[in-house]
Amino acid sequence: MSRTRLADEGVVSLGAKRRVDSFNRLAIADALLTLGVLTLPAGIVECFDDLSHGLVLLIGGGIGIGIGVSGRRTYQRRHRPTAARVVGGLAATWAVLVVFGTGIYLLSGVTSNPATALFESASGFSTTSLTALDPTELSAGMQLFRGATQWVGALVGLLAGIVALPGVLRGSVHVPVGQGRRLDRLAPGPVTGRRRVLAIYAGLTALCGLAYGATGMGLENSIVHAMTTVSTGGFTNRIDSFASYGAGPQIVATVFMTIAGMSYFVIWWIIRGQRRRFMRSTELWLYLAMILSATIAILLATDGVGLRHALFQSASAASTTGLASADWTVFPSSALAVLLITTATGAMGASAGGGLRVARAGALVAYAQREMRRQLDPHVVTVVKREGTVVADDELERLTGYQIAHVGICAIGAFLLATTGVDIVSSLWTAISAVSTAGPSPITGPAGDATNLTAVGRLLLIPGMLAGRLTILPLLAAIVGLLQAKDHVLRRVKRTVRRVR
Amino acid sequence: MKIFRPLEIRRATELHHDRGGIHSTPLHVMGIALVFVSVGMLLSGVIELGSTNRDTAALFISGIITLVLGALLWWATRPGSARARDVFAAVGWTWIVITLLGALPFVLAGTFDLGGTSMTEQIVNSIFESASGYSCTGSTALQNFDIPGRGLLMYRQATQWYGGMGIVVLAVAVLPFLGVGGLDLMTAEAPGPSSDRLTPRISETAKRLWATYAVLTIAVGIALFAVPGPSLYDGLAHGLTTASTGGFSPYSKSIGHYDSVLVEAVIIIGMVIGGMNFAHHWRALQGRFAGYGNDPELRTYLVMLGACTGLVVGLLWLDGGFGFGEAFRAGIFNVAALGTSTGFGNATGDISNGNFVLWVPAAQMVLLFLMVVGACTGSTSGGIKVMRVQVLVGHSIRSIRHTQQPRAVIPVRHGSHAVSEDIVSRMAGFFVLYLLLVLSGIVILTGLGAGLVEAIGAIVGSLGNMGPALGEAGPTASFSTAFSQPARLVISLFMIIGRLEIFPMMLMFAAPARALRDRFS
Repeated sequence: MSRTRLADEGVVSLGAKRRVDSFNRLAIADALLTLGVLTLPAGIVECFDDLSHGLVLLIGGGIGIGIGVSGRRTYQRRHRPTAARVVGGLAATWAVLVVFGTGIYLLSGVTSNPATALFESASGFSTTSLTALDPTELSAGMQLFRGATQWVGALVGLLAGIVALPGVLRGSVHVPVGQGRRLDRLAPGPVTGRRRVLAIYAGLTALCGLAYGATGMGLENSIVHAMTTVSTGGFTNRIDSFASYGAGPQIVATVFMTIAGMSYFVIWWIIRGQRRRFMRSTELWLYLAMILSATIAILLATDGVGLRHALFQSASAASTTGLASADWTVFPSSALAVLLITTATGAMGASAGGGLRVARAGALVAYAQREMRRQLDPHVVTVVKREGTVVADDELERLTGYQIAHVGICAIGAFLLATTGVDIVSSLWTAISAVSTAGPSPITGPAGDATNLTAVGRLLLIPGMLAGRLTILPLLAAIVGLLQAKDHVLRRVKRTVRRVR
Repeated sequence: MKIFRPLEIRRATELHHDRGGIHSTPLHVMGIALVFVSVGMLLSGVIELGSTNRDTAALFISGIITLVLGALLWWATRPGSARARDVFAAVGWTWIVITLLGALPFVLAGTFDLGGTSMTEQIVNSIFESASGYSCTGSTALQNFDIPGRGLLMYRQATQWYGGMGIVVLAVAVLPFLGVGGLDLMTAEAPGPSSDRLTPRISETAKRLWATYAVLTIAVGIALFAVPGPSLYDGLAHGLTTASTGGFSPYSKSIGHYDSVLVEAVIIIGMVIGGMNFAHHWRALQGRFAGYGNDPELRTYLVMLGACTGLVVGLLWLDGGFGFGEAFRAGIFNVAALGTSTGFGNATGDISNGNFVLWVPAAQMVLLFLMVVGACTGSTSGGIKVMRVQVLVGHSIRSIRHTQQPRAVIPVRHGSHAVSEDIVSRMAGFFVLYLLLVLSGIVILTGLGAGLVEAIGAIVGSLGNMGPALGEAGPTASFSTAFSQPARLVISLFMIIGRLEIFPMMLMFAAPARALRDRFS
């Protein structure tokens, strides 16, 4: 095997002397490097508005690039990282990104409140469209930086879901299926996979930006909205989200939100011209059917709402973007229920969207059907398939366990929010929406105005938003780790007490 | 004495069952159950005759119709097979028919006729009331409690008593010659993942459970009669719906009618005992109390009730503008009422401490949590059940640990015992179905015009057999004003689905479908 191929597989690295095999280091370095690269142009733009703020962004970007480059230079992969390390590394990456973003918001003077800065940063990197700032008061540079946080957050999520996790959780329900034969794979190795995902992601962003530009949105707005649409982030620079933009930008947003919620495997098949595979993707059809059903439900339930707005809201909910073309909080309760369920189900696996994911929801329904059959005949052998592949029994069991945890996190989040005085429906909705990384709820309004929540309420949402970005695994793993550590400490204390006695 | 060989025993059994008539387990079980239900109607008719004498004819006519129908079905049919689909069909269809015939006394008496009320509205409300009664839910469509007589109100209470331990369980207890899968029938109807066998003979187990149930009912009735306030009638009426964790009361203000701490204390104790596994109560009546201490589910149930009481009291006291005494009284009663899926209310008016829809949202959220969880397996209560929640939480933690250690073998434990994978799988399936039902129920109810909070409260409350919902369908409200006619029918269906713990109602069409397929193929 050639050295270049080995390097591509990540087995060796070229020209290294003192290097460390740490997945944490690699993930954090890559994330900061990308963020730094995006922060620099934002800083340059900001310099024209406010030199001091611009300098903060430039220095921040420089630091990000510096850490990223040095982290990359001192990394060498020697062994395949374990699942625990990858999950832990991803959690650490998000933590570093959120702290970095908080620092930029505070130092640039956008807000002097650390809690607000932390919330804005967490909301950005988790691609949730809740905001505690007035977007109309932000300068062009800060708008760009804010959009960049969502773009980087989604990129890290994509790389984790398509490149990092499949390597360590082979066959798991957390890993999207549909990679295909080795030669056709989107991610045959970590390096190639990273490159391809980045290319598709950047390409989609560019296309979206061009489409926005073609509708007359303006350069700055096009760039910011392209970043926040393709990342399913949902930040905008207007107080009413997309409502005051015309039909053109709304149609472009609908199309790109739908694409952003699609699996990157499906997009890869389209690029490779594999029409048959694309047409046979059950998850894709389920996803599109969900958007269509939600649209029809909204149209039937709501008087005076046109197809464009119904489709926009459905695509926004299904892709968990959180943009709004109309004030959907005044829709009848049946339309609201459909939107909430669509948001909770979320987008396809291996996409930039959040939520439970369509494939998992489909597998859960199939699991429920199987259990009903088993009630009639306990010895019946039934298999559940995902994209034509049989899902192992233990994986299905794990999926149900994961689902219970997902529901539990939403319930705890809703209860904690309710303690801050938020009513029951808004608490449940906000918690579900945050864990699905969508954002808006009846209390925050269609534009996701988080100032309607108390400061404590906003802080309580942060773990849910971050957990939702990577299908709650890192947070849960951390909680289970803490529980195990507690058990371990208790056992040691008991042993010590016994010895002393 | 002749000794039968196994084959001869089988032939003898076949001969015993082959006395002619249609072989159908569902119809046979339904017939027996209807006979039992008719007894309740006729006894209530006697009470009505001796008291208000307004609805006597309605009760007697309904009782006779039900008795004749039941007896005909019983006489004309013979038990058939005891395959799973027949058992589910037997239990599911029996409950549907009982609910419909159980509505007859209300329809004939004009209980829901407020002057100019349409017949459709009256029938829908009657079916709702019947479903709420037999499923032990406790939601009511009744707006004027002065219309029905005391006998009809007692019948309403009795529906919950029948439903609490289960009519099919009663059939198994009294009629051991039913001859078909008694255990399966009992398991399909009894709350919880499986039935706790007290004796090797399933009919003996059913008898003991019903005996324990009767003892608890009488004990609560006597205790209520002993404290100042309730009459003997009140004691019996509330005894029937406390032991069954049903929650119906002959008064519009429910327990708030007495505004008495002592009455509330008796009811709380009765509800908490009703939410425990009746197998432990039976053993306790035999002088064996160890079962209480050794049951991890019971410990969790009591800890959960204690913790939720503390939380609600704290929230009401610190954040809800209540004094400590008021918060404690309102908190402990409503936590016990919803934590045991009884649904009694202690509100003395629309704007009073006991009306929990006026509480701070966090306290309402605690009640919503209790509505989902419910009480112990083997009790008369509803909800998912504490044991299932314990196992599901363990299963969830194991799933997450597996992502870190994919090859680790981690059993799910309940107390010190490892739970078999088959049971874990069944419970997970139940939870997934429960979740799907909740979501579809919310969409249907909101589609029928209900508000989101009312729909969430009504679906969770009806699946958990709680009674009061949230929003405009709170503890002091009538469901007939809060929900449209079709919505009330949907809620009625969800009540029965919840009472039978989903599977029988979902699979009750399997046997008729198979029979049709066999006939036409």
